[in-house]
Amino acid sequence: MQIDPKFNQLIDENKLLIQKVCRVYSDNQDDFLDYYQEVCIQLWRSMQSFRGDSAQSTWVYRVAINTCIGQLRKVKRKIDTTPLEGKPLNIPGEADNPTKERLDLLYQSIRKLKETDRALILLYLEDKSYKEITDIMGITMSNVGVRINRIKAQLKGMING
Amino acid sequence: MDDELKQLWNKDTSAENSVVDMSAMDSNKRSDLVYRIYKKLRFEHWFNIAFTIIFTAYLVYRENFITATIVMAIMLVIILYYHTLIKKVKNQTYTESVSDYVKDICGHLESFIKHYKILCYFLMPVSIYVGISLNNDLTISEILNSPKRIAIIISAIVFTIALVLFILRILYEKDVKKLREMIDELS
Repeated sequence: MQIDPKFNQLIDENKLLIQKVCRVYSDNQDDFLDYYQEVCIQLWRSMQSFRGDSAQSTWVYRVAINTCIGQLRKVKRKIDTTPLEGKPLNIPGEADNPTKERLDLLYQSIRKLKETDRALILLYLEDKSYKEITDIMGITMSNVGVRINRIKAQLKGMING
Repeated sequence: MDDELKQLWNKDTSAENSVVDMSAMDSNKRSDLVYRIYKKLRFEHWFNIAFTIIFTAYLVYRENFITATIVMAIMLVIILYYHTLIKKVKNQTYTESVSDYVKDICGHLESFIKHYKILCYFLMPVSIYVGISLNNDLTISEILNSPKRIAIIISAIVFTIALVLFILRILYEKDVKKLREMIDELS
């Protein structure tokens, strides 16, 4: 199948962003690959409708979060690109690196949150402004502020035990 | 703590070289809720069309023109309803805000469940009646005059409705509940 070079460029530019969204919604490597694949499919299908009304990253976040939330149920289907089954979620880096361990703990804590809270904290950690978070999530700015403070306290509790 | 979290988060800088399966771009491997609904509806739609043609032809062959007309009229309404529902689900986009998207997919799922309930409450009794009357060449008055036949029909209707509602509850209630919770969280 002929893939538009613009699409390859879009994926290359936003690969890390997409993978971070997929990581907060998937519990293992298989799910992660499924989610990544689904997000890429939706970006491909939605590409023609992108008119540049919003920033490209806002559009990518919306598609990625909506796709991950829209799965609702774990679907165990085989993907050709899956190297191993049931492997724990892999965050690239040295195996014994303490930073990687702390990152793993952060992701694990985020994954314990509700679906919508995961999206909110992800956008906050990605340093998005409240205005951008409002655009992506479709909730009021005051609601964003209140909820992010609550989620941060929740995360703090989880990480510090 | 806030800065610490952001600093840690920003250390996740290396993307995996995940390969996208390009053959899946033709949408045959999608697994999201909207597509699962779309696929089921499309299958049922074509099944309804095939069933209508075959069953009406059979009724005409048996010279049962009144039943054939009733079946055609009922199925035409159902086919049009499916057509509208499929169009709505097919046009679902992923580019709207998360809040709007969740409301949309919850709406699709509720319409999807509603269409089964309509079929269950309306079509099941009709098809059971048609089935019994065709098998035994009975008229409506003959069926209504036999308490045993009425009891069988009512039992079959109650059992079918209970079974369909039970299956719907098992398959979709959890998803609807989850989506409603998300809508509440986002409002």
